[in-house]
Amino acid sequence: MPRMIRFLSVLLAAAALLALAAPSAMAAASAQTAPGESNLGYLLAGTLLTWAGFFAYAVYIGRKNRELRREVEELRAALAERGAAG
Amino acid sequence: MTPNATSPARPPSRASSSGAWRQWLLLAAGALVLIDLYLIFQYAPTERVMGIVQRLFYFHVPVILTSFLSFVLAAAAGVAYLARRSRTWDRIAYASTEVGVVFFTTAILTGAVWARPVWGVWWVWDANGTLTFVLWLIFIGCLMTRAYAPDAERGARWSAVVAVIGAATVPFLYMAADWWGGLHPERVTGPGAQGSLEREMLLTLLFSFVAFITLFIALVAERTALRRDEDALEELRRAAA
Repeated sequence: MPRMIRFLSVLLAAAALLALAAPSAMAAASAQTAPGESNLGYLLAGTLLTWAGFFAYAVYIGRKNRELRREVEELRAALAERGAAG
Repeated sequence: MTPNATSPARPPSRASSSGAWRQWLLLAAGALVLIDLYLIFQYAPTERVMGIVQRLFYFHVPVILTSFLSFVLAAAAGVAYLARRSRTWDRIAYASTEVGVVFFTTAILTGAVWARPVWGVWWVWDANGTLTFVLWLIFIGCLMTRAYAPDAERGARWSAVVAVIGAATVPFLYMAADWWGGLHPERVTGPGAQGSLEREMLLTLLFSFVAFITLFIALVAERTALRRDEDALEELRRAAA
């Protein structure tokens, strides 16, 4: 499952990059400037904030998962050691 | 944390936390998100008045409505926990609250970034803005209540009560612009909506709903499983002490 979380994180990062690239390409391709077209920076900021938020949360879950597994292994080893000694 | 007989916390193992359905759900969420980005930036037409920045609408609206759904789910799971004292319900309530706060915070930020070029301000303390801030504080409070409670059982009970109060605030926030006015525009879709959307815009919006709700379900499922493993680890710690 941590592998899947990493995968989702990468996917979300790719989504963020795509989202960032798409409006730039769209604006560059556009010959005419529509009303409000100059607000591209705000669109980029909003898009980046959205995906940065989800990306950070996916990374947080992934890190928590890894820490939990490490602690489980340590506890299991400690319990096994105690069982062998007792 | 004391798991009851109805939902014992299993020891964390690779088998217990590798639900294949969760992997598929994550994959589905990722695929839907990519398609959604294509629709938002390539398929949906540019709005005539606001221009390109209006495309934030396809993030802001589905994300905020999904966060409403998460708060209602958190309250429902909290009530189920109060009624049945099943740890499973508490884990769902916790996961839903946490993921909901992420969604809601994201929606607030996109709303502010959208408001600046359109209204000339980042934030307005009208009914909508004020209730948004209140609801955000309630659900941050819900997580804090749990974190600072003297024990997990009381934390679960208290946070369930706070979640119910938060969920009761949701309809007022949903209707705030209609009932009390302010800068926030009228709703263009959903029950009681006043406005209308072009077909391509509506399709993109509906697809965004599907994508973000799938992402929400995938994250809640993942967080619930992680919470279950945390409970099991707590048991293991007690056994090792």
